[in-house]
Amino acid sequence: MRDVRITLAVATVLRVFVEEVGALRYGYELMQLTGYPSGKLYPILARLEAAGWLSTEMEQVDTSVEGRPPRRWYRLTEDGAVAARQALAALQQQITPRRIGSGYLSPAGGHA
Amino acid sequence: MNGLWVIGSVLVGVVTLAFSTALGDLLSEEVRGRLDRLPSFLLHLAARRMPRKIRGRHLADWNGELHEILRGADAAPITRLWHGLRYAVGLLRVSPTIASSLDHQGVAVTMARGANGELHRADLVSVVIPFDHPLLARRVRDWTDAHQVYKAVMSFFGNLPGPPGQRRATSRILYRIDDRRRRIVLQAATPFTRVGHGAHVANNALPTQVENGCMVRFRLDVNAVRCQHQTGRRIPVPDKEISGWLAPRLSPALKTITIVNVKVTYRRTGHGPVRIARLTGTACVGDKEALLALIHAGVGRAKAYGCGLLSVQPAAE
Repeated sequence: MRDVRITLAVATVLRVFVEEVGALRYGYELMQLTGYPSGKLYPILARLEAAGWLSTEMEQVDTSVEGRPPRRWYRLTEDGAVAARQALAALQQQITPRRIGSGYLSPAGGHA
Repeated sequence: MNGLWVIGSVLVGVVTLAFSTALGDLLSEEVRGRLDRLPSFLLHLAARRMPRKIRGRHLADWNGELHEILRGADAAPITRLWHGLRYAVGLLRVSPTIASSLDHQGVAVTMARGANGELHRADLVSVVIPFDHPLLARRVRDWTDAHQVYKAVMSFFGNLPGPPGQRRATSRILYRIDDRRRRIVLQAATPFTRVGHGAHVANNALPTQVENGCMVRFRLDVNAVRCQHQTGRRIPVPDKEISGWLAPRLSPALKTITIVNVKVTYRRTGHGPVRIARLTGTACVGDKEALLALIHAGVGRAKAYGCGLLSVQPAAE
């Protein structure tokens, strides 16, 4: 499995998958859940698939019975789930503002 | 009489109205049918921007999703069209990027060595890459722009050794644009980091059956210019004089040169147009080692712009 550069867009997509690990997601469903257009979402899915974070499979449907073509499922791989959680945790840590501890002086009266 | 006229006019009016209404409905249905097919058509175009071997998979994926998108918005034709177009146009824009992402490993291009190990200069890799390769499709908008092509070609390699401005020459990277077959032939003395997607390793730099004294066919795109003595300006060599210009440059590797065909083309660069003479011809191998060195180093100027790559094949008996 390869590393993936975690941008905000990648993190948003990963968040959807991590919320329900093992769930099968369709491309259009992901577009709706993330709010990203196809031109933004599909390159991310391709990157995650190429890196081994996502696995895909084609839906098995009888097109003549269902009256529609099959769709492709995306799902987190086991390793991908671990890596996604770690990446999201690292990102969370990165964007959380540092709290000023009790050991620091703060202005009395609340006005600078 | 007037009454008959009035009745006749009313009848004609009613028939005309009915006819135009029916025609309008037919036209509307025709337009609607064609507009409904527009997103699907755009998806086909998007797939065509990808290498052939992965087109089918992606087109099937997208069509499945497009069906869902259109079905979800089937109540309103304009909304349906809008959603379908938005989906398809987005993919049309990024399909080369998707293909490129999936080509994470590429095809491992092994260094092509000659069958007999003593040909140390045969450490060249020659690869044929179609125009629709994702890296080329994404970077080259205009194939007459030599600078765009150069940048795209260099993207096939990772970090190259040598000082800036000499990295192509240090790694002996040469290429030729084959407009007719819509492909480039790329040769380098350094491993490619990203190829794949329908590219294949071409013949070795020099076929093993080529020996001193044998006749060969050659192909060469060359920037044939001559330096003017008084001004120092480079002026193009006329087509009739190319044979005389070429002979000393190919000697002693190739002798008895006969140029069969010359086709002149121009490509744009940041310094003005570069004139490229596409030569095909026959010659006799004078010195095999010198020929290898020539293939390795290239011929003439403007090598960054697709000139200088010499390809040789044994001539048919």
